Amino acid sequence: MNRHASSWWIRGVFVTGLIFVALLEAAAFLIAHEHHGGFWNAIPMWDLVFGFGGAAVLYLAAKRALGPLLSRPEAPMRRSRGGRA
Amino acid sequence: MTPSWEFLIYHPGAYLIAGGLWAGLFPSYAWATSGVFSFGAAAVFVLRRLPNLDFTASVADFHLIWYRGDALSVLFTVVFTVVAGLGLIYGWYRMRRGEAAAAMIYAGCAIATVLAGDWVTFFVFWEGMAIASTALIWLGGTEQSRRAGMRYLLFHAVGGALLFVGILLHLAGGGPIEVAALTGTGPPFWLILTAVAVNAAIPPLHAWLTDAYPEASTAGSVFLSAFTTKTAVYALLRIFPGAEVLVPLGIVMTLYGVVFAILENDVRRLLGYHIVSQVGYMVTGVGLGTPLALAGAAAHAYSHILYKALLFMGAGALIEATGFRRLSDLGGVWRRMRFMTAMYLVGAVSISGWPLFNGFVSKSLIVSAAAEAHAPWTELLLTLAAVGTFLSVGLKLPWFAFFGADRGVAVRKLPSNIPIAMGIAGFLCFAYGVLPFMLYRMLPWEIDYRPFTFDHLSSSLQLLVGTGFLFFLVVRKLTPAEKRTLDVDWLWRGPLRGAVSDAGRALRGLAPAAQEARRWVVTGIDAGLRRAAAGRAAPVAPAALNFRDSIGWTIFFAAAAAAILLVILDRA
Repeated sequence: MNRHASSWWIRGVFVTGLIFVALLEAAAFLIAHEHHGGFWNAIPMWDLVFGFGGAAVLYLAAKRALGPLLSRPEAPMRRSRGGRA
Repeated sequence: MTPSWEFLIYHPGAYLIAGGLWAGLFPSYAWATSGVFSFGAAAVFVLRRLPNLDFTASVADFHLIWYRGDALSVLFTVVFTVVAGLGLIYGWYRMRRGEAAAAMIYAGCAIATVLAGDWVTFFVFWEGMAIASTALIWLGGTEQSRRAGMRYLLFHAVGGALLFVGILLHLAGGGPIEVAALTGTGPPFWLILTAVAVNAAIPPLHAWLTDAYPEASTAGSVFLSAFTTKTAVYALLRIFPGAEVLVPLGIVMTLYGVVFAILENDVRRLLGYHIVSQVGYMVTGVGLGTPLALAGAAAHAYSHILYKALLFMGAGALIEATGFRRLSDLGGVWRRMRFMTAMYLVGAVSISGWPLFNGFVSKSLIVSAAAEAHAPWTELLLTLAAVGTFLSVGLKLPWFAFFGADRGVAVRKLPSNIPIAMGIAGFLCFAYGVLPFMLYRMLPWEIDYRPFTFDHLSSSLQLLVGTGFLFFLVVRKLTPAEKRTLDVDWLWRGPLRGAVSDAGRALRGLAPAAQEARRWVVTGIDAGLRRAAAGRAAPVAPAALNFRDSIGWTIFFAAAAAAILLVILDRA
């Protein structure tokens, strides 16, 4: 098993995403209008930052705050079946 | 109104219930035939639906409306019938006869609940749905499914009791027998709301869902994902539109589901948390109460049923093909199941709200309604939940299950009915995504909403791309561990364990008397049907008895509860 075999996926996704976002931001800057809702919707690139920051907040809340508190080792009976359904 | 019993001819649910009974009582392979005929008949009558027409009947001086075909009922009936058909195709080779029968009765009861125009009929089919779905979980056939089914039954028994008392107080207080929006905030309001909250899986009353749905069979999970929670959404739309308490509850649901989904390792349990989260959007929409928000809640329920069925089909296909159910055991299987991976991804982008898929055109109705209702924090938190949805269902699950490091998991070839069902569901998710007017014109509320504006497309794509960046930054830290996440179920796995065991023992103590009553009902029905079949039916195999038991319980409990309700009302 090679746990790092997928690193080319990650690089590919990053490069494609960056190109896509650059084009999207350029288009949004040229033709988008301010839309309804909270004041934050008027901030340039807000949605991109919110997507990144929101995911970070949820990741930290789940993995760092709740995970250590709520996660328990899997039941030994299930582990002994090798995880089979 | 049309005072008549003709509704039985026009009622799509009646065909599915009859098909389920037929499948359960007659020998092997009969279920396939009855499945085809009952679904076919139900579909025909959905296509030839009778909007704005009521069928009524008088029982013990009560004017019962057994069929109310208004726009809201018809919307849910259409999608319930579609998903029942998809589930039957998906389970064609794998479902045992009892399971298929329970699934058809479950679907039929869900349709009958949304078509019910009066409280008594509503309650009877609501409970029928609870019993049939319990049977569906039990028929998963494992020790875990038996235990989870019992916990599920206990939850829904409490919910049913609250609904029963709530309806009783409502009617005894002079309330109309028609199921309609409740006014005032007295005990009936809170009792019925709590009962519906159990079925809608509003935390902390949600643990039955993530506990039981992963333990049913793979086909059983597809049915379970569609009916109970969405019938509750229908009930909220019908009974509690604009109830402000639902807004914070809905927001909590959306975030609760996604946070727990990030922690989860079991594929179907992760998807279960996303039912909680997505239903949260609908609950928030009902609470906001504006026409756009209510339309959004109904539209999102419609979309959710389709893409969630597709996601559970994808998870089931993964489990059937590999034999594994945990992300920590999976990885890199996409090359060996390309079509299934593609269809799962259609479901994943739909639930994540990617443009051109049905989640985009329905979820945004609710978020826009929050903005228009000057509730910016509601809008912001619902958007945050959308980020979490993409993070866990759109990225984490497919990455660790289908892509990522190849663990060399062997993949069995699946029967062709599975990709066919997934293909149809995927096509519908895409079709409603590119042609949203097909969905919008079915809604009971007129809306003027255009999902494909540049602003909306741009903001949605930026949100999703930003989430993608974060995911690929922390992907190694999100690697699932062989752990179980404690939820509210910690209460009865820990401090209340003794109390739950005592309740189980007490129930078992009542079993002999109830068993005798049930035997009387089932034997009578069985004998009648056998006489009707004039001895042509082959002997029933012992395996069928399990199912016949559950049908017997369904009929027994529903009939007993309805009789008690009618007697008490008669004396009130």
